[in-house]
Amino acid sequence: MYVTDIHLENLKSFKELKFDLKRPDGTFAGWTVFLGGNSSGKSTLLKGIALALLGPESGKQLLGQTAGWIHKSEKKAFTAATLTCDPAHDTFKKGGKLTKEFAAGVRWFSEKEDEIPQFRAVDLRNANGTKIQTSERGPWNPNSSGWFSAGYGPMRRLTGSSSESMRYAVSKEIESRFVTLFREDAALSESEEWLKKMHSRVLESQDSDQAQFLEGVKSLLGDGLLPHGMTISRITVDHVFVNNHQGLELPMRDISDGCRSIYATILDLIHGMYEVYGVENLFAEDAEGKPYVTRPGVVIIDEIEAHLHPAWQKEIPYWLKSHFPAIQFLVSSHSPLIAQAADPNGLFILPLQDEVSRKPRAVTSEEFLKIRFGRAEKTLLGVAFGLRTTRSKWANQQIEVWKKLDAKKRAGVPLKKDEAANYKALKKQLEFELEPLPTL
Amino acid sequence: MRQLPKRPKLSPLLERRLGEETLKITRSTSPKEEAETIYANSRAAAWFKPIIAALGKLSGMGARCMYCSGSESSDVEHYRPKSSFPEYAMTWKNYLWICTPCNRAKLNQFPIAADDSAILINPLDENVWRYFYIDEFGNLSPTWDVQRDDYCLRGIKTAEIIGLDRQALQEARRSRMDDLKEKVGDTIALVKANELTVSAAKSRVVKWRKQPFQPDVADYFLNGPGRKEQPFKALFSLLNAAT
Repeated sequence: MYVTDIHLENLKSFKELKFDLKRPDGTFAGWTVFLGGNSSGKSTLLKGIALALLGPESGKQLLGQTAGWIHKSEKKAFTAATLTCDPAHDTFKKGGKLTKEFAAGVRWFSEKEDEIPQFRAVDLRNANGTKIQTSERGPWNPNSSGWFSAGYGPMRRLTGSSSESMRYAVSKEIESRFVTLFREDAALSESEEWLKKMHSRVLESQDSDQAQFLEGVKSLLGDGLLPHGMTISRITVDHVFVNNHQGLELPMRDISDGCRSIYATILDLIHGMYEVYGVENLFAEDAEGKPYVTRPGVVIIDEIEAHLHPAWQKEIPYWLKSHFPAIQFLVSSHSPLIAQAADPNGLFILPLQDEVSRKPRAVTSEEFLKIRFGRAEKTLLGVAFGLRTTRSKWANQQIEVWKKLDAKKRAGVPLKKDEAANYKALKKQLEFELEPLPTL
Repeated sequence: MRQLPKRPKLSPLLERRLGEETLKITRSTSPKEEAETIYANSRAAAWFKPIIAALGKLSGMGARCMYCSGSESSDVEHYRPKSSFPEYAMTWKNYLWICTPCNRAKLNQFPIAADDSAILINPLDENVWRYFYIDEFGNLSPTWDVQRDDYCLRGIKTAEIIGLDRQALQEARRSRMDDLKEKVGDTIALVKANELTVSAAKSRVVKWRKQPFQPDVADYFLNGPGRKEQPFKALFSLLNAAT
């Protein structure tokens, strides 16, 4: 399954948002990034997409309460996506005509403003007025197969789940794959527990399917994911161990925050895909013998770069794309390094709430090429991020002082003694600060 | 900013159409909303296209922004904002060609001086090099007003409103300036060595003036006050001495 487009109306800060997520060649897999300042609505958008994938039953469990989602002074809101099914993997429960593309959405509505809103599926009817329930028979149906999707919030921890969040995390249902997106107190510890359990089962029963799966996980996570040549060395009943560059073996829990959060996310992703697709043909190797995961689906990640050093921010999108080539990644970010990795028609800008004259939009193909080819700093200074300067406040103050003295001097006004000395000293400094850039 | 060609007259047909639309606005009970609607519809209409073409032509090769000469894509802008001056929303003389970042910075700002004159500089219809110069680092700085003992008011206000100190612009101006200085240096050497004729050198200058990359720099140093700075001064005295 893939998300063809997303349409939000009156959802929190959004009056209206419509994004077409299809790539120019008609495909969906790859890297799509939503950019925008703090409180521009990136998390709302990602949750909106997730809720269309989850449907009202699962959605309500994760939301807990339905208040606070309708735009102020409005009485109804919706989030709706067009989904494209993959007939090779996605099945419907029987009844009615099957369509490759169909709408799925949820809505909030209330009669009065202070009333707790109702939360239901978007009402879809055909020309005869008959209810269309494609989503109910497909992605939202717990007994259909395929339709893989997962969503991760910005706090992707391995430990410290609250007991309530734990309830969702341990289930095998779709909610477990979205729990961190909706609940900040949720951790991704379950997948590690599950991996260790699977390991002990393999030891006991020699189950070849599970042994094969375990090997697949190890070779995938060992293929250049962790920095400095770290690899998974051993899985035991108590711990998952990694080998660091000095040959030292550490439990995964003791490695850095950045490593852990990426490791936990990817492990959870593989776990989820295993639950949905099973192990058969889940892993494959490319012509160069590099392992990858074959199955399709939608993966949402909020603030993908959290805890990551810039060097790793540059690598991770490409690692994910090449190891999950059939996955549609929908991520939010504040990082130009993450944005640069976007695939065609994969960059969208959300304006800040006070910029009423601007609407959420896809970047133009011209802007896209600039970001794809350009330096990260140029991207920060360009339309997608809109920084006026990447220099420090202090450096800019020095530049302003010099500029003013220079304008005065050029007008033929003699500089005072201290001004002249300052002018000279600052000029030396500016030669560093305003160094010419290498020409193209 | 750069010295742009004189704004041409529109065809009488277009002027009449603009006049009709303006009348609709001024006669409306809510001119502000009417101006928004009429302008939005006109901007998308076929009859408006020659206006866009005329602004593009005035902006020269690459149709760069009239304020910053930068590389972001541009569109029609109202010099006097249509929210405060709906009566000028459909007026040719109020139209400029401005990029997205400048537009986003300018918004509805239009300060007026005590004598009712505009403070914001009109980059198309005014002599911009009275108010600005380009320094050796590629900064576009306001000129000094000796009486104010500060930057000239219109220059600094315009720079602040439009955000002309954006780092991306300073860096682009710096690279264009360094590139131009290098080319001028080479050309001087070639002419002096009799390896390049004066007329060939002059056609080089003509070509540089038209190049779209940060054309404000080329305009300042090849047409404007920057001609008096080295190595441009040396180039022009060499070329003028020969004629």
